[in-house]
Amino acid sequence: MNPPQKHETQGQPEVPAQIFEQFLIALQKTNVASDIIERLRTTIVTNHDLSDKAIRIAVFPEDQSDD
Amino acid sequence: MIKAEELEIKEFRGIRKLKLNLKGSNFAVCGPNGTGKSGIVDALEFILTGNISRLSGRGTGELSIKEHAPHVDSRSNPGNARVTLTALIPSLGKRVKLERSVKTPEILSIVPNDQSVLNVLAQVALHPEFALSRRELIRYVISAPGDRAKEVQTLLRLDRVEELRTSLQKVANACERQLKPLGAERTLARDQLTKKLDVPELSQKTILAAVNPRRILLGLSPIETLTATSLLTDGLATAPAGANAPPRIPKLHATNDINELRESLSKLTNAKSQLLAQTIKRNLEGLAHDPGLLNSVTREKLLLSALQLIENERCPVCDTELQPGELRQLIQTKLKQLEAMLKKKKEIEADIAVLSASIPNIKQMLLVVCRYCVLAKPPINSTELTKYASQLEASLLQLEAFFPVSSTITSLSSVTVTPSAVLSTIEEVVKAVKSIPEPTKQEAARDYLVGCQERFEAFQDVSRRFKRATEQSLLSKQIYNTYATISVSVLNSIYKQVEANFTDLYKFINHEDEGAFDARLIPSIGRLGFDVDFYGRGYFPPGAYHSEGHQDGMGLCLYLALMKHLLGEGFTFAVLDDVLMSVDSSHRREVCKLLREKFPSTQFILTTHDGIWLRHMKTAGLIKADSFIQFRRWDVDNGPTEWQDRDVWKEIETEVEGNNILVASSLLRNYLEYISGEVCHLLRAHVEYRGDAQFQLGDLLPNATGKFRKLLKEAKAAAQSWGQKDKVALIEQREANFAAVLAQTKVDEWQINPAIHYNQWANFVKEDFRSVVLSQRALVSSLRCDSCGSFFYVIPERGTSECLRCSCGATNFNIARK
Repeated sequence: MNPPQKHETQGQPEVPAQIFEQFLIALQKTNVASDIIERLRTTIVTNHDLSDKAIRIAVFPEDQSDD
Repeated sequence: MIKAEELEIKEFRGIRKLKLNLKGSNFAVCGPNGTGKSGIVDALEFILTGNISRLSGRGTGELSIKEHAPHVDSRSNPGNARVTLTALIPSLGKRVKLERSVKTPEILSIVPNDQSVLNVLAQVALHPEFALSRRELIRYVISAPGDRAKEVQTLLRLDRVEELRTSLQKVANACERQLKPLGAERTLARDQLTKKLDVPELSQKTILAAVNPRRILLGLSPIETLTATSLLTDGLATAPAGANAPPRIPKLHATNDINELRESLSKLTNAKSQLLAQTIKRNLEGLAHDPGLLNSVTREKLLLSALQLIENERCPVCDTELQPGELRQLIQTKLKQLEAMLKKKKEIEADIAVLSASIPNIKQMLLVVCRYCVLAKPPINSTELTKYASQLEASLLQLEAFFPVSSTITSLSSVTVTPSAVLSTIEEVVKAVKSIPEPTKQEAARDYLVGCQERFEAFQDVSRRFKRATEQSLLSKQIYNTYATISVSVLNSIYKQVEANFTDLYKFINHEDEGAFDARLIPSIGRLGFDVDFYGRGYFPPGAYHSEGHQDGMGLCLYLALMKHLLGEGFTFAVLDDVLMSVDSSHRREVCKLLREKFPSTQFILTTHDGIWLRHMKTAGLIKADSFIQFRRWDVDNGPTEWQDRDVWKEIETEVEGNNILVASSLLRNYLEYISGEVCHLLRAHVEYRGDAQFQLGDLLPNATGKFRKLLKEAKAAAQSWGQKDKVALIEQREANFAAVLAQTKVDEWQINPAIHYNQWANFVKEDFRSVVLSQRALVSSLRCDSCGSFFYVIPERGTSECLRCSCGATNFNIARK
């Protein structure tokens, strides 16, 4: 595996940022749909929202429309 | 990160007013305990983070920044307590001025405050670990693996990593929790459809074999293939035999349904069930009268609930924070301990499961019969049936809950007796159904299709929900597992790099006796083991065999390795607050060298109460000659008092000027003793060994100067052997200069002429002593490089001497001849 890169992103400490990025890259290699991965990226990396509620909305947006 | 250039402190902690010119380079703060060193550390932490760990960390009780950060005389006016810092941001090439007042610690004045500057300062604030005290340092090394993991995780900000893991696990757990009830619902719907179809097993073939003859009988086309949208009743509304048929009780189905209900009720209340219920009741009563057993099962219930509620590493009852996996493991261990005691409970639960197995179906059938009540002519009051269905549902929930035992016993009694009103209502329905004329074949076929379609839809609906829940569970698990794998992999990689860096750094400062040193960082769930090699005898925790000084060194190296990994080139600033108090003198030199050579881009602010340490830092070139402040004393009215002159020669001159020759001579002697020791070490001079290590100036200085002359002589001879005429001339010039300086000091005469011995200095008059000072100062200067200020030294430190040189390389004389 490649050595983790140094990040200096606003509001996101370095090691978590590395892990989140690697996680999203690894998801692309699975059969998880790309729209789910994109929503997870927005939630985790852009919005810095790590709550289970936000994650659930990102993974199962159709559940929200059911509510 | 930043580099601190100028720090101004007003009315803050023990300091009234202090301005330090840090110049963006290494800086030392020295002074006895209680003279205000920590005030500087606090000020740096405060200006950069708005916090003061000493007032807000663990065990600080009722201390607060607003109340206790101002100088004690300014506590009613915290606006006076301010810290100002001018800093350089190397990555931006920008200089920034920061100011923060204790009155509003959350507000930082920043000039200029453009976004790039704000980003860097936000990053600095995220890393309060730039300030490290010995108390914190040692936590990295000799703490328990779980505690160390916490420290390292805090430093690496792994709380965010854990937060996401917890959320992903919560989502996966929630998805999985849906599966069991949906699975049970699906099984029930399947059984009811199978019964309604009256087929031995459910498959496309058996369904079509049962449905199609009836459809043909009704003049409908047979269904070729069953799909998710198939209707068993397709076309029925317009079929000749089904058109405009008014709602009525399907006699055949109703008879079957009622028979099924009666059979189930009979089964639930027959002698066998009664006997089983009595057995369960007896065992439950036995349980209720055995406090030990009851306590065990009560605890089991609590523990099982806790297992279900674990979604983050926190006790669901008391909120105590635990390591990942620790709580689950703890609960499972306790459950195992309760296993024998709980065997009885498990037997009772198994009996309850047998007894209550038919209850969900009875409840469903009661509701079906309720519908027949409505269709009956005249309609039948179904209140007792709906009431009983609700009662059965409540009883089932209680039986599954098991506790409280008394309620379970009550529920047990209620389920094994069918209320007579219910039986009467059922009998009324039976009569009503019997009175209905026998249906024609077409009517029977129609009723069959309608009834089966109803069950088919129910089965399809629950199957869809079950399928979706299964997919969601698999997806959420896959996402969680991917995250778990990646986070463990990235962290392992980080720990491996930190481990290698730590080992290099530690070997650097202990190369003489631990050149083969090795270390292992061993991450596991919630723990970070740390074992170090002890002279090839095996791997042990750092506190097992290594000395306190070595442990301090390990703490520093681990901290530096972590910070270097964390910030990379951004590691430009660190405050080491008295972190190396127990490192011995030989290793101090190496520590200075380590900080200077391995972290050339990092500005270290070092505090120490040890004046010798301060000198080590200067002689080793870690700090420049004027990059320090030395506090002599502190009082509450004035705060710390620093040495007027930061140069020992100026200090001596001040004493001479005040005619305090005794003090001045003591200072000179102490300083020369220290310097001579250093020079003897650096030049590898021979000194008569003393078991008490009490070397006096006369034991050291002549040997140091003699060795220097000898080295110059050897260097000259070497240069001659290599035909380096220019170098020969240079060395001869150096020899002549040194001889002249030495002659002024009369050091060579100390052994033979006691009248000029340093012991006599205290008796000198001012003028005579001043000339001694000047000559000694010139001598010390001649032993160090004019360019970099470092003392000359011989390399290597052991074995055959090869070279006489200084740190910057301006002086570099080969000693080995051709």
